[in-house]
Amino acid sequence: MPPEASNPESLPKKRFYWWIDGVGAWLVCLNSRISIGQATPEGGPIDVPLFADVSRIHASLTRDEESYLLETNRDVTIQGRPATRSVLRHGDRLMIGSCPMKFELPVPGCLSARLTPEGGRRLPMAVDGVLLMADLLVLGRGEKVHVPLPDLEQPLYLFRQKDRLGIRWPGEFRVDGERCRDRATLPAAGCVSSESFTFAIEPVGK
Amino acid sequence: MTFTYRWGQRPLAGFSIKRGLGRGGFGEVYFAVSDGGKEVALKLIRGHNDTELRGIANCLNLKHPNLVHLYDLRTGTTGDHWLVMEYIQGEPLSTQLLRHPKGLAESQAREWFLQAARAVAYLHDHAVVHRDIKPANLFVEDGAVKLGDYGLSKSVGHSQHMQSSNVGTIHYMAPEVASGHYSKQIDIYACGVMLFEMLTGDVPFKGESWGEIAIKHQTDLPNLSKVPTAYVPILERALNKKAEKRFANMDEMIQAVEKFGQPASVTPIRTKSAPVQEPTIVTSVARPPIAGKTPRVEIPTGGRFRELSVSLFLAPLVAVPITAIWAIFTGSVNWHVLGALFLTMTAIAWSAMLASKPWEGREASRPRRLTLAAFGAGVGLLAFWFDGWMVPEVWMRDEALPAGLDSFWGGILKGEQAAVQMLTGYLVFFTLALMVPRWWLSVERRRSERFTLYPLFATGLWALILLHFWRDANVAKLPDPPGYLVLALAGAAAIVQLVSPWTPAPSRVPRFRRRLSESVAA
Repeated sequence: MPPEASNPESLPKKRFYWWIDGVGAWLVCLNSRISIGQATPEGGPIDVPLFADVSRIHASLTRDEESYLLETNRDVTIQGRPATRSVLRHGDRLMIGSCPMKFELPVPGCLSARLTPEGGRRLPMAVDGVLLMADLLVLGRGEKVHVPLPDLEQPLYLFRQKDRLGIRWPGEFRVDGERCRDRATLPAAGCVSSESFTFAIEPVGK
Repeated sequence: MTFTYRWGQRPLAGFSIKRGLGRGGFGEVYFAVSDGGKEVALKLIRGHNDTELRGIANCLNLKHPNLVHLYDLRTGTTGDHWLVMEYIQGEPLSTQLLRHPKGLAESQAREWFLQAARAVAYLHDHAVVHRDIKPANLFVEDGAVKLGDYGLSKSVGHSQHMQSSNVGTIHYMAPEVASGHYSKQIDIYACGVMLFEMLTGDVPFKGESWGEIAIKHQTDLPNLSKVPTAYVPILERALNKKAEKRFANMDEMIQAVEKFGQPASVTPIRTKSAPVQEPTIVTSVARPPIAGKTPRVEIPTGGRFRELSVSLFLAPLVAVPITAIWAIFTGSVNWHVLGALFLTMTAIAWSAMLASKPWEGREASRPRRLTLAAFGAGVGLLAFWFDGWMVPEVWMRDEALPAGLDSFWGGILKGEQAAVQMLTGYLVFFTLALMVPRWWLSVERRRSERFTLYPLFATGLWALILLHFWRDANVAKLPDPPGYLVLALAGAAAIVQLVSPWTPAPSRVPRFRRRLSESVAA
């Protein structure tokens, strides 16, 4: 087990992998401003690195109180139209260099967004897409969730708690083996499990 | 879904587990990353003996673009065996099929099936029988299909299938598996089931229990009415109960799909037809007895033309006795009425056959109805003339008509309005009379019975209804339309059935087998 997992007090990093057993995996970005650019061997400061014909820093996405603003001076189109500065809307199809992506705000009233590369592998790790977390992430049944998990009867929430992340779910679960009920603080790295779900959080970059 | 291992654990040296992917019949599968950064799928193999492990090892070096690559077979820190495989970032075909409950688009199904079939052909060429081909073992990544779980299933025996509650597997299991035969033919059968499912969205044999489905594989014929016609002969062959009557090898099946599957324009009209094992309940009047449960066969165009010529020749011969019956029944020999009846009946029968034959064996009802309607209008004009109606004098250049004609023939219609009304009556009557009933079902070679009374009643009743409305619409106080038109239509329905060639459908499931299947299900 990595050393981070044993210390639940450590703060979450600005980006982490969310590994969900039997469901999928997501790259979660916590910053309100993220950069999109080329995936390089060094890693570098890019939040959403792409294996695509894009510049080192190709575009940036900034979340304010009510929307996401895409800014770029490179080759980007939104719904087929070239863009340099544009507010993104739910369902927008972006073309960032050679990489097609879909931008969604799946939960009405929630500013957390989902950015999914389309048509093939683009991100350095095998994840389904990127979640831009504002205050809340919803995991559960139906369409209006950030991560669909059809078997989960009650929705599960990941939420920001000052500078930490918390989990809320009506039932019993374990955080790194410790018994919890209804709500708990998440470690920067570790496992959360119950009879209905198991997921792990792994910070990106040390 | 709970897994033995979780994120961060390293049960196999060199690999760090990230998450559980799923659980198959053969163990848990994890997504893991090697210390060097390679993403792999790790399959935990438990409860398999050395022979079975050797079977897996035997497949480690097989290479095909449509096979999930196997990298290595290793022993973990706790002594468990791990199969290191290519990680496919994509969905299994079974998940895709869930999203398409009516089946995939024909071209898509064909493309994916061919890719999977090539992988199976490659395995067979390397003396490996997969034994567990099903959509859950096919993975779609970037539009490419990859077959997984080979080698593993090589040693899975009958008993193991019996014990496993994994009903997903039984849907694809060839009949001879029950008696312990595991040749390449079982893969061909499973490919047939899978092709059927990709085209229709459903497996051919469904049931409540393992036993019920197994018996259906043994006895029931698949209902191919929802499958595009070009695939019917392919599936009839691949799903044959007798292994020796199936395709001799996968390459043959691939060639058949490549060749016959070509016209992508032929799509089925998806009808809600009842499954094979249930009797069809005929509910509506205008519905002839053939409910599309017999497999259809393509007949070459040349043969069809010959058949049609013979049928057309025979039709008037059959019309003679029917006309005679009418003469005896009415007790009068009015040659004008009998002649008109005979000619109209023959014209209807010819029209029904001419309009239906070109589309025989296909599920295209719209072009059929349009052609039938056009022929109907033509018959209407003929019947108008057979009944001896003449267009009014204003339309006739020749004013010198013999006065005596009035007594034998329908007569000369006085005035333009009367002529238009009478002509419209004939045209509408015959257009609807040919367009609405499904005449082609009586022409179809694979109709369930050579001759039934049902089309006679259906067309007769329809003619009565039409006549009723015609008489109601007769505002100009013209002579009523003749009643023998009802007989002309019903008679034509009889003629068409009697002169159209017929091939009996393959024998259905014997009743005792059905009882057997029901008792097993209970």
